[in-house]
Amino acid sequence: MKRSILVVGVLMCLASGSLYTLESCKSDTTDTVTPTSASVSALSCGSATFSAAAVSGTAYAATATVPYTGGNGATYSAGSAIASTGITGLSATLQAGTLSSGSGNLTYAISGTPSGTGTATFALSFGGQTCSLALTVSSTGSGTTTTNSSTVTTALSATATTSSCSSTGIAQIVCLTEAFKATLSSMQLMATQLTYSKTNAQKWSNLPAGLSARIGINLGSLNTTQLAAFRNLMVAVLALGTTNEGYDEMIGNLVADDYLNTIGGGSDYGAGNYYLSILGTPSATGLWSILFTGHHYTQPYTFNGGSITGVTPAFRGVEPQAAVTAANRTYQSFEQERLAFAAMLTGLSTTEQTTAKLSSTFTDLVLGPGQDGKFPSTRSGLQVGNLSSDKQALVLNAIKLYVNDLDATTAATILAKYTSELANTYIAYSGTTAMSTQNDYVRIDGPNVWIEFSYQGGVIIRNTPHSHSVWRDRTSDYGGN
Amino acid sequence: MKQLFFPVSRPIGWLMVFLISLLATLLPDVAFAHPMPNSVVLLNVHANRIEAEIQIPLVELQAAYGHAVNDSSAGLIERLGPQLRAYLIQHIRPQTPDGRPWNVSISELAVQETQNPINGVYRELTAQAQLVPPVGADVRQFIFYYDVVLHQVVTHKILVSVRQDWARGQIADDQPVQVGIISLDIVNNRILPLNVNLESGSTWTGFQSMLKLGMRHIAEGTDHLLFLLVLLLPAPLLVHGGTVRRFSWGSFGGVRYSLIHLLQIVTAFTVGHSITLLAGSLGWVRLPSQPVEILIAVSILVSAVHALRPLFPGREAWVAAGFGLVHGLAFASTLANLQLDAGPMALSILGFNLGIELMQLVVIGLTVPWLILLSRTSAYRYVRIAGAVLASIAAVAWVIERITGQSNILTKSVEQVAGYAPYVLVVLALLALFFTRRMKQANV
Repeated sequence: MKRSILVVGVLMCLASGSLYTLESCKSDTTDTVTPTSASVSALSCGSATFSAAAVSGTAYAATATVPYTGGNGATYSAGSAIASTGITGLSATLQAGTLSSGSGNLTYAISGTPSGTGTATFALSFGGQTCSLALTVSSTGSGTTTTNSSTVTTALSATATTSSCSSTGIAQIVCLTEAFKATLSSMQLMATQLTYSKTNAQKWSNLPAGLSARIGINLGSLNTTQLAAFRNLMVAVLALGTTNEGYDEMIGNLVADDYLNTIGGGSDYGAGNYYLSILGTPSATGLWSILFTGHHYTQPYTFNGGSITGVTPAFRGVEPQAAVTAANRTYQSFEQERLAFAAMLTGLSTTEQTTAKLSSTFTDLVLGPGQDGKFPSTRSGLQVGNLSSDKQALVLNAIKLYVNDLDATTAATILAKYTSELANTYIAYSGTTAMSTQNDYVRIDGPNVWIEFSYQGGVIIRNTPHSHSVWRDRTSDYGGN
Repeated sequence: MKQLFFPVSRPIGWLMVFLISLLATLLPDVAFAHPMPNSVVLLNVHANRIEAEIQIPLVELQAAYGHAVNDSSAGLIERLGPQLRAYLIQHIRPQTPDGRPWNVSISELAVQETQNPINGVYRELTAQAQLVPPVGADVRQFIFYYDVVLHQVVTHKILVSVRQDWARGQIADDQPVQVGIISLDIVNNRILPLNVNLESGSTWTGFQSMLKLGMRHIAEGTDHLLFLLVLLLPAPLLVHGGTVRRFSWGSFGGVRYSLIHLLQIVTAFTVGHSITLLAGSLGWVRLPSQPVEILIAVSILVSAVHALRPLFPGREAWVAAGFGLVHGLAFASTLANLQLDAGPMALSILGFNLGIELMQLVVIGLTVPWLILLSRTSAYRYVRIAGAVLASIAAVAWVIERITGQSNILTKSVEQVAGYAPYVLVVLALLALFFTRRMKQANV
């Protein structure tokens, strides 16, 4: 008995050994033959999945994963675009890959803007098989709207209270700053009033305050009186009365952050996590600054010798890019900027676009926080001075959406400088000119002005791009300090 | 310390420690800026080559390489494995300071999900790369041309760190040491290579660090210590009973009897764990860590019961050797995880084992004199029983923890009490002195 088990065992070993040898011989032969063309025995369009949902009239970029069976292990290259039928405007392009020996998935990149609501159909043909890939296109979404208000944004969006500071210019800003300080407790004041140093001035970020600590006092710790005093100060240094610009843009930004707080961002997000600090003693003669910074909004003001010497680096961004409603107002605080860039770029001729286009890809800003003073020594892209006046005006329109966020007097001075330098300013972009696809990027780089806009991947709202933007000045960042 | 209490998940524990330390050490440079995830290159420096683990966020890789690698990451390696390897080799080009290229190969590719507070959950490609300098060139000095993703996505950043450098005494459970960051030189719009110039190490440094690791392993390994101490608890005592009656522990057997007995047990334990440490480290034997860790807890229970009532009188040495085999397997997993070459591995086994022995000797030297003193008094009975009961409770708690994979209140308390070990030793010494004095007074 024992002996027969032994014999069977030895036989099995021999059999599996020879099988193994045969198998390895087989794979040797397949390795040496020239690559065969890809073939599959079946394509299953019915089981395909899409990485994002399509909405009528909205730019769409996603991938479709199409299962196959009976692959022959061959390598295949990318296909050409297959236009959709039924609902038109979309195209599907096969991505290169290697087939499994057996079942696996093909990947198609789908992009374009669907023409209407219904089903977009793609006639796929691969490896000797065909099938119809169907994508459902839903009706136009109204964007992300939600009723959402925190005590902070409610207090800040109330009508201005009369302020006792009747002076003008720097004197008024000093007066309003002191009035705000006067509402603080001694502990709060200690957190808010700091000494002026470049190091302190550089403590801003585009991350939520919970993930990158700020200096100063956070809005969440202020009572209504204190918030009103903060409001009085901010309306004096920002433009008032333009929807989604200036002070209104700031509120919209805080509202969007409150929204992120409620949909999964948690306590790191929200208007309460925006900080105000006063660096140096407010005066109409000395060096001091106001720094207001939080997740998607940073605005500094540097004063010296009785004038404003710098209002940059200023950061703007928003997530979600779509509208958010709070206290009966709908905000879309950074959409005008995105559209202004799209208008600027789509207004260019094809040749001009080619000159303006950068070959690199940008998934974020180049000169974000922590990248002070690293301006490129050579400007890239298209020189604005070579453009027709209407195209130059489109560039200036985009710049205005940053500069005109400030109070009228300050804005006028800066805008005059940037306008005079416009001819020597360059514009450049990467991605698409529509500024509507993830990793679209645009830059305005002048003798002084530096504006970057990056339409980048969502963090809290996955698969939906949102904007980051920075305005710097080659000489007056941090007031030239 | 911690890994000994969560032995089942030891590698995961290390990974956590590593990730946290990574956040702490690497992120400050970029934490306040970058909402897009970075690439990470972790170097494991050997004598004649570098094993690198490369972590590339798929969202950034897709922006550089396309092929929907992030959108369709399921089955990515099956779909694009050869192409990805070719792409990586094209963009990972270390060379000697005089410009001779290193040889680069990519072994394992995998897609895994990871997360950090800034980017949330994201998927990354991990690649194991072998970087081999040309013959005669120094492995510790090279110019690291690396522009995976970065060649196209100029906002990408690559953090390069040394995770393990045996000859410098750095092992993988230490914090990785950052070498530098590869990113776009914005001012000049170019990508500069990273000059890597690691301080030279030596065999002696590597050996020393392994010696320390061995000592730390015992000093922090409450379970190993407890096993040994509990086994030594009845060693000075004679055994009563035999063929007719059940065995029980009797009186003090004399200093000479005690010492010989102790020496036998400790030597047997050492021989046992040395055998499996060698076999395990060299990869001859590899057992999953969970059953080994459970067996270790069981070994404490068995020796605790033995301390209450003799289970295997006169055969303690054999039992110590047997359980030594089990403990050695646990020691071996520490070394096997380092994945060293033969030479350093041999020295590591020697150093690590010597460290273990040294620390064992220290502990025995500190406790045994008091145990012998105490064992001469009538109070020893209670010390022995109390010690054995407490050890059994801890052992049972560990068995439960190691089966369920969940720590419980008891194992947490043991962890805390272990921190007070020096005080326990002082109490033991005071007890020994007190009862010895009282016995002498009674005798006078």
